[in-house]
Amino acid sequence: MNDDRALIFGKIRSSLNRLSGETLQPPPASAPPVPSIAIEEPGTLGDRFREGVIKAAGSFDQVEGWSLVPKAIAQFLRQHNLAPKVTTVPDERLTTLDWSGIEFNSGTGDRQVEVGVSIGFAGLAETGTVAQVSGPNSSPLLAFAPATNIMVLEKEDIVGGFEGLWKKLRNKYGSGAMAPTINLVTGPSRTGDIEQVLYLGAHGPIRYHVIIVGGQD
Amino acid sequence: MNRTVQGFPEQAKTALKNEALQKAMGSTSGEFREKRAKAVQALPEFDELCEAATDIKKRVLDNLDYYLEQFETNVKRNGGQVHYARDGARAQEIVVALCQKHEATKVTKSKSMVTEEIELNHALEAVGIEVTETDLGEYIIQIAGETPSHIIGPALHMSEDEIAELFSDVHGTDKLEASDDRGAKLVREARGVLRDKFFASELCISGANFLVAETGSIAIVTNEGNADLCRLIPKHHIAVTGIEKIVPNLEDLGAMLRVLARSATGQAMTSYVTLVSGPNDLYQDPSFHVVLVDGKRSQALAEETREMLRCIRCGACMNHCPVYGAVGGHAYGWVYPGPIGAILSPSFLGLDSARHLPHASTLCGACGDVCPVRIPIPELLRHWREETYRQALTPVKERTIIRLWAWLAARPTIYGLVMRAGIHALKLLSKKGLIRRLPLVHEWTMHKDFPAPEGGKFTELWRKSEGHDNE
Repeated sequence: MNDDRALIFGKIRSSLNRLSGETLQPPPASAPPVPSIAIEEPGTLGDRFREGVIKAAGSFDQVEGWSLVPKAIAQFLRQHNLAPKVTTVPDERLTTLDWSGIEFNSGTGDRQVEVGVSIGFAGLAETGTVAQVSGPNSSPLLAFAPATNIMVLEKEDIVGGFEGLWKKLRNKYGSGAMAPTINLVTGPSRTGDIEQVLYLGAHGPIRYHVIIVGGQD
Repeated sequence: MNRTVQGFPEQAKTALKNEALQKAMGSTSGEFREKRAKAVQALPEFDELCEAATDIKKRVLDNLDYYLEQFETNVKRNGGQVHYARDGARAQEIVVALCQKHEATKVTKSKSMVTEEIELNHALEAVGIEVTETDLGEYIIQIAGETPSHIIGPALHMSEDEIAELFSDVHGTDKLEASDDRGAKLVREARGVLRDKFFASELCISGANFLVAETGSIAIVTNEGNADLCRLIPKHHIAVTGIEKIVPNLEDLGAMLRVLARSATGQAMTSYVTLVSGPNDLYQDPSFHVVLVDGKRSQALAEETREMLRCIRCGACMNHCPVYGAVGGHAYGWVYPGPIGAILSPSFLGLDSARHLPHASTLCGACGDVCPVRIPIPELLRHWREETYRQALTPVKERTIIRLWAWLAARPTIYGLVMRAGIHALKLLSKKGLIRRLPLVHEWTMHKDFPAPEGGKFTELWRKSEGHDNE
């Protein structure tokens, strides 16, 4: 394997005419343009985000505070004729809430879970995307294995687009560092592999529902 | 059916006579084109982003050694390992050895063109490892024993009915009769089968759409979420990809994702984009490996077709290609079909075997126009055509005709005489201004009549036309 590394680097350097055989630092380059759909305009972030969720075949709800999340979830489950049974990520913001009326579990999730509740790290107004990071209080699997993926997101965590997300990630993990798994979720699982007809729920979620915590903006 | 790049002319003929394929192809490309056009129109900065994406890839190729080193350092810092493979055989060895080291006998895979390129599944199956493709299209062609016919829609050459037949054979169920919801039922059936595979998986093999040097991350893009189930359920993850997939930093990744989703499926954002930076933290002692495959890429960096290495595998060029639209992906004989395949295959497999592919183009230029990283595909096709002639790989008959033409074209007087004779001959062949059957090239008149020349030679008409009397 080390032979292959040396061989490949040798060929690359020869192809690039590196006379000394050394690696040169590339000249600084400017960042790519940020499209207007991704700009950080505080007053419009909520509307743009919610519109994106709908376009991505998802749905949303908005509540004043965390304590109202179980009620919003119960209502969503009733609307969709789903059993009142959820598994949430092991995060205190969810596990300490009053879940009466709903069969509640928290953990990493397995194939039996029908409704998974996760917490978003950031929302992208650009596309209605919720970004989720792995870690001790999180389990990305809950957003992928169950048929219903509910994402709870604080209003303050909605950013313009990718650029806002990268900034939040650098603030949390430090420059160049990342959580082991970061998932950017935009809608339910979908496929067009049979005659290009769109079907939802190819593997994981058939439903993508976002609950925004923080009251109407 | 064993298709090869050498066999393109025969395979193309077979494809044109295949009615089921023609029906499938009829709708596929058009729908992709329409979706892309809408998505592009909705983003005013699309062209600007394409320019930026092109610059990013240029910078990466100009400094590939630097960015690869940076990527490697950061993968290691994240607790992962990087393996280099000079070619497909070496990549197979590495992946097989890693599966054996981690005692994995059941592997789930998410879609990866590089693993198709290196025929990884054969190598794994040969040592008794069960591999399951989990992208629905890839799963369909895997159980059908076929290869992908399109970069992003591997099974688009198959009809719903063929898939129903296949599922019935392989899953041992009754064949679903045609109905409004048969497609949905087939998706559900595959979902059930694949769920068992996901939850029994001991190791994930994925590709990578991009490698981020700054963070040592791989980015995987899917609409089904299958890559995530592959990644999150087992302890071990091996990502296999080409050395050219690097982007310098996260901002650059954002630009690439914006142009990729729109160019490929016409979405503003693919349903699932995953950044993997290190082993799966749901487990104790997990592992994460990145296998970087060269497979002639480092050599191509010094060649005239180097710009093809910018390709982000969106498939837009094939969706806009009239030749691809007519013959489908399989006729091209290798994993990369369409215009980009006609450039990659001669480079990766050798021009002597793939020499027909650069000719499988009308040079209409649509592929180059829609390429999000501005690969001058028609120019590169022309380059391979010239090389084919220069290396004397074309048959004597073809070379003689071209030489004769060149000789003639350089002698205006004789050329004029020959043309005049040709016009006369065509007029003699015609009836009421139309020619029913052209000699030697009767394919041209198979489906429509050829118009007989009117008037004389172009140069004569030019001279006679207004204002050119004195020229």
